[in-house]
Amino acid sequence: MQGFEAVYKQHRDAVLRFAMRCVGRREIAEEITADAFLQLHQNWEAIDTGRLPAWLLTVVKNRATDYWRRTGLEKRYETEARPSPPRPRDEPMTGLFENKALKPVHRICLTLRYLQEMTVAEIAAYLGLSEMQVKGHLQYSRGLLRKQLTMGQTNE
Amino acid sequence: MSSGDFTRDETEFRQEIEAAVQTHRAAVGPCPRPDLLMAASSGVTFEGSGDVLRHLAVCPLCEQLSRDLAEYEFPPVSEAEDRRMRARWGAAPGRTTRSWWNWRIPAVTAAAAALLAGVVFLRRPAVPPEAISPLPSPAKPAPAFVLTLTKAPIRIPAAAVLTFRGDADDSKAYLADFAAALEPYRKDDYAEAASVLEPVTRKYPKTAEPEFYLGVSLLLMSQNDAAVTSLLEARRRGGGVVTDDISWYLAVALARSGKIADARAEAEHLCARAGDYKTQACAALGQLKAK
Repeated sequence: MQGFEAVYKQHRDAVLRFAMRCVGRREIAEEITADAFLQLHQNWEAIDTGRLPAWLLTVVKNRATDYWRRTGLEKRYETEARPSPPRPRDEPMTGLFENKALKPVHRICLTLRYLQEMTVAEIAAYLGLSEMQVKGHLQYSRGLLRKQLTMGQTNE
Repeated sequence: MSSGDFTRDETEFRQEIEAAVQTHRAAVGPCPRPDLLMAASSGVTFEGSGDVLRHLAVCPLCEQLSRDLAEYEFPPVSEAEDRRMRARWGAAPGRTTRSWWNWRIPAVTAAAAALLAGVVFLRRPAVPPEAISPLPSPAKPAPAFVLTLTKAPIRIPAAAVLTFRGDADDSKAYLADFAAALEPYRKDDYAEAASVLEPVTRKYPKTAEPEFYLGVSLLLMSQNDAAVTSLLEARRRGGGVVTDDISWYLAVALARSGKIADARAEAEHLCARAGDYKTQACAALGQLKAK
């Protein structure tokens, strides 16, 4: 029989990571994760541990829904940044940050910095990295993309 | 969120990609913030989530960002976070650092000494109850199964393997379909995973992997009998890169379906050979025997 402690240790990282994806802020993700395990603790006798971690993730999703409802950030997106319908003549680009040497973390940093225009500090807080690491990823990625760009122009 | 902290090199880089970014924005509109993007693609519904998902469907950069973030390993729970979370359900600070064994050994010694001396201290618990377990663990009846269920790791077959199996013509299409169908599974949305993997299992009747992940998704939703059926079908198809995984998850599914003898046979098979599941399969054998 698994005790609560074992279940907590087994699932806490996965639940926190899922919560991060759902709310994007570490401190909120922590609060939601703690809520999920608190709820599990309170209902421990009634819950079949075979339903874990799905049960915990459902709690997280519900809490995340409440969070977004409270913050009203979605309204800000709706009013300020509602995407215009794609125009047939314009093709969205697919290859801006495409390079086989780029790892997912490089693409994430590039997109957040140069498309989303987030600060280095914001990216670092979001990804749980140091600012130095983010700057390093960005510098490496810019170097690669510039090289790619130069080679493309030379070939033309 | 607009950033004014660009270095000179970054400013130059932005100028170099400016034309492409403008063209992109003209085509798909402004991109939603990453937290909204991830929330919507993780299945969280909110007032603007429909707009975000519609944007995601037409914006390759957001689609790529969403995929990268879904795979990104956010840092695990830190010690400070762990302490704060435990505090929510009542564990006193600092108690978590003392293991059960730290208390148990002196406790047993003390209890033995008390017994020998014939002292009436036995009326008092030798170990403070709150110290025995780092977390208060309410009593719970033993579950009907003994094998631990965790999410199966994602293993995508190499194109070369598919070619070897004689699927050369379809291998590229298969990999694309399979990878797309795994997205909900990757995001822990097992109900959606089951619904999108099922047609892939029919479209590619020779491949084992979609059937395997369908089986695991069903298992994670406690649909044990259906999971057994899918996992047996995955094995019938040859197992592919998930051969050992099939045996383990089949053992778990069979145990949960009450077919202990069959579960034991699967565990014995894994325990007898070297592989990722050897240790846990051997441990499971002991549990299955005890039942």
